[in-house]
Amino acid sequence: MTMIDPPEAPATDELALVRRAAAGDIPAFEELVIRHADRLYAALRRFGLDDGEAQEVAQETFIRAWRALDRFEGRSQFFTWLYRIGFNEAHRRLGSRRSPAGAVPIEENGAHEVADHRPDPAARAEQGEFLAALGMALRELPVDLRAPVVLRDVEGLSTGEAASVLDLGEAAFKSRLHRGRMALRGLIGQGPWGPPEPD
Amino acid sequence: MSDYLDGDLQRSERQRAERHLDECPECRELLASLRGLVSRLARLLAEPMRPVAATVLAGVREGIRAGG
Repeated sequence: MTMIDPPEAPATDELALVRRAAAGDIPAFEELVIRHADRLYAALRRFGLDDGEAQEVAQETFIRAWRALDRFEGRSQFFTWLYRIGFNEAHRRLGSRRSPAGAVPIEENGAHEVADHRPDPAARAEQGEFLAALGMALRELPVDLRAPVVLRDVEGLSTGEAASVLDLGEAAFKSRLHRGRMALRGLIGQGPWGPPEPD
Repeated sequence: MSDYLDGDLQRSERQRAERHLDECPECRELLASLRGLVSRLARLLAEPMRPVAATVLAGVREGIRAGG
């Protein structure tokens, strides 16, 4: 399975596309959609939206972004700005739910296909099972604690970027991140997990 | 503990945390556990998802055409 995946495009190139799009250049905006749609969709799925909703919210996010491009000041990365729009909407939808409905494994779309080059099949299977369990547990977290963990620990945003996406001060963000990690640790069990993997 | 793990502590705070970790097996265990958790969470990013860019793009085109 191949995803369209150029989210790590050079920032200058990206900013040029954003500027052209803000001036009404639709093909430039479409290039931005192609670059970021898969990653945004995946982040929304990890946050807890089901397949259809994540696709719908991703689409809505880009349409809102198109309409608000003149307000994008370029102080954050374009993708961080998209996260902010998308996670706001996802948060609204998830927050209205009483329980983590649709708590299906994140890996339902083919975790068995994950490339894993370790030589030991048993270790590989164990790792796959663990990641599946971790994905499930993540969706059991309260939404307010889940968002910091998804943004910081899964998506790899910096503390500042992730706090900005959630419109939180850094101290409040860090507090929620730690509480989220502790809650997740409680859900998944404490180990034995061994040391962090070298990659 | 998360601030220490994320490298978000000032030098003096980090040193104080390290002194405490030297003396406290419970906190060392918690730190190792959190470090393992964070390391594995990062691996979720590589999990494959359904590619949606083409479908999303079609919907976005429609939305832009309809609403400008």
